[in-house]
Amino acid sequence: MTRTLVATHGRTALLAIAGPAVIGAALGMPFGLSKLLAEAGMVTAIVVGLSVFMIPALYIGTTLIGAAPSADRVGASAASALRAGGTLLLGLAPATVFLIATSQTRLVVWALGFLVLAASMLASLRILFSDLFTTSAARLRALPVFLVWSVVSLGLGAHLFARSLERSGATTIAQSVIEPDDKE
Amino acid sequence: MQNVIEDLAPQAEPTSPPFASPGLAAIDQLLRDVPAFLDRIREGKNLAELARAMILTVAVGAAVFGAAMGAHRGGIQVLYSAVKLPAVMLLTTAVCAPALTAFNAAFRRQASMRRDLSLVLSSLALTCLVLAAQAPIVFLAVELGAAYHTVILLVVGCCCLAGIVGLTLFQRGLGLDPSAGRWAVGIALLMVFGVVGTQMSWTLRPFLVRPRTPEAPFVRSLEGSFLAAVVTSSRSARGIYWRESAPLPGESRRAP
Repeated sequence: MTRTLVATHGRTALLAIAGPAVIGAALGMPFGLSKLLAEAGMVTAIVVGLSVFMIPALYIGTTLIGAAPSADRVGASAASALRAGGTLLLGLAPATVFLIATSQTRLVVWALGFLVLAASMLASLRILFSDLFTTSAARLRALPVFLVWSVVSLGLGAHLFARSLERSGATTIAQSVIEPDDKE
Repeated sequence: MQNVIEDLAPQAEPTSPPFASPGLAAIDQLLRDVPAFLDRIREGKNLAELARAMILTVAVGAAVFGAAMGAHRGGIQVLYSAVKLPAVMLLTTAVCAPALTAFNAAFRRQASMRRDLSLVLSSLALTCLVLAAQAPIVFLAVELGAAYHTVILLVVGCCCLAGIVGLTLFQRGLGLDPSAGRWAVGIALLMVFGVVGTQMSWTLRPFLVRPRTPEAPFVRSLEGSFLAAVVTSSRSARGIYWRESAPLPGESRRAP
């Protein structure tokens, strides 16, 4: 029983960490090995760290409106959501690596990074919401708090991610170079 | 009299011999009996054999259509396009197939890499069979002397039709799992496939060579991306240029 629990939790942790790490590595790939490793660490830290930072706020907010499940369940649901997000990122990794490897503009790195991470986070939020609030009444009551919490979390995540990309050398969107075309 | 009656009685139709190859039988089932074909995928029966048959179907079907496209230029371009189009299809599948399993897992649907890959390959195989069936139309247009851009539009139309047929099979296959999220998964994978497929095609271009190109290369050098090309083309459409004409192979790309 203990071995099964350890195996399950281990697999969850591995998927939650591997997904962001692989995507981060893909995004840092055009800028050299050191940036690749740095970005892999940064994206993982942002995804996992932000989740750990924000989950207590969700628990407190939903408790205040009387819609919160137990703390254990909140933790388990958060882990499940992170696992789903990590799995999605791993599935999108081959496509992301290919698109970055065959493109020559920084805009692509930015756009792909935001798109892929946003897709993963939205999938995680969906699972978290459906796991935590299982009845229609609970969902209705918790929806405003959950929405505000989601917007703040996504906003923080986007801001931290943009700063990490700038540090890795991807510069800003405004500085991305796309050559104008020629007359034919 | 009895012999006449027996002669006039409807004869039992001779049973056609079963396909010698299980691969051909699978292709025939894909065309004639889609529900049974999808059941086979759902039950996981002989998926390795099915995948091999589907990969071969994609390779041959896309090669036939690629050859028809390359016939516009003629010569070695027929072979180049016959090789590159199957490569685009199969490489895109290899890159995108894990995404389907990931989407199914994220939406808490049944996620099995073997079944998902079989479904994607089967949809692509049906797409390529329809493409192969339309190859004579492209070839006829080429033989009648259709202009470059006319052939481009014809090829796009053929690919759209084939794509719709393949997509229909794919959505039916997703429906084998009654869990929620079928349409979201289908749309998400279509977007991933679309983006990766267009970039893969861009990377392996050209398929139809511009008439003024003196010598058809197998693959052009990697220049930008499909997205960048769409952006710059939109600027060209508004009259924003930075040089007089596109360089021919070997000429410098940069303005003096």
